[in-house]
Amino acid sequence: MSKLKGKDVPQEPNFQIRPPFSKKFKPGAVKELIATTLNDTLGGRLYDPNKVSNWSKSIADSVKSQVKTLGYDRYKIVVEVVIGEQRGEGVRMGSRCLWDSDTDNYASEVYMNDSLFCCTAVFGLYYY
Amino acid sequence: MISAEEVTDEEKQAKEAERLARIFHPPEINDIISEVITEVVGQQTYHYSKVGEWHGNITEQVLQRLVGLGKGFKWIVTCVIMQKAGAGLHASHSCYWDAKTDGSVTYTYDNRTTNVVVQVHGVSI
Repeated sequence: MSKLKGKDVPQEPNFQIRPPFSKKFKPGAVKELIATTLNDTLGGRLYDPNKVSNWSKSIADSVKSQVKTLGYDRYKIVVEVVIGEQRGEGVRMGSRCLWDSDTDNYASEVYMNDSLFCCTAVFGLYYY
Repeated sequence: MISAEEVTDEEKQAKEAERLARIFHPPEINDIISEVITEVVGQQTYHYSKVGEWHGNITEQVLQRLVGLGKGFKWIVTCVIMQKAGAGLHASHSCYWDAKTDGSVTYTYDNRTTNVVVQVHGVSI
């Protein structure tokens, strides 16, 4: 296996096709992490069209970098954030995935206050 | 009579087609999503009782067609359906993956009463 340059490069494929249990993507831990980030970033804020796009980007980046520190080595991470204004309209968000259900998983969390809602989903996909 | 240049062009096209089959290629995915949304939602009016069905149909049909492309990818299809009530919506994503082979596509559709945003992420195995 060739040596990797740079710290954040996913490893090249090898013969390990299942993660050990300690390195498996754990939805519970990630869900708590998302909840903390959402409360810290959006707690008590009002919807502001000028600032919302910055908030959503910063939440996505911050959640991604925190999940990386949890030590899921061979996992690729996808973080999706949707922030919307609360005006009583109907919204539905959901996903369908094609993956290996033994190794891959997701965690999601919703934050709501009187003026906005935020839905965040983190998907962890094992790299064989 | 095939000249030497034409043979090289065909070889080039074959190689290009082979390369595209292995990586994430946005145009064909955009086509799939737009066809599915037009078929499922079209110009219908937003109604809370139908949204669940639309959502399930859109995500499942897009996923089935992506699988039909036969590429070595894991797919994530996310759909947000929102009633048009003058409210704002922002969607963003942040991904840690191999940028040469993996990618994502975001497609927005709207009619008079509904906004639909579909995000597709493809992660190579």
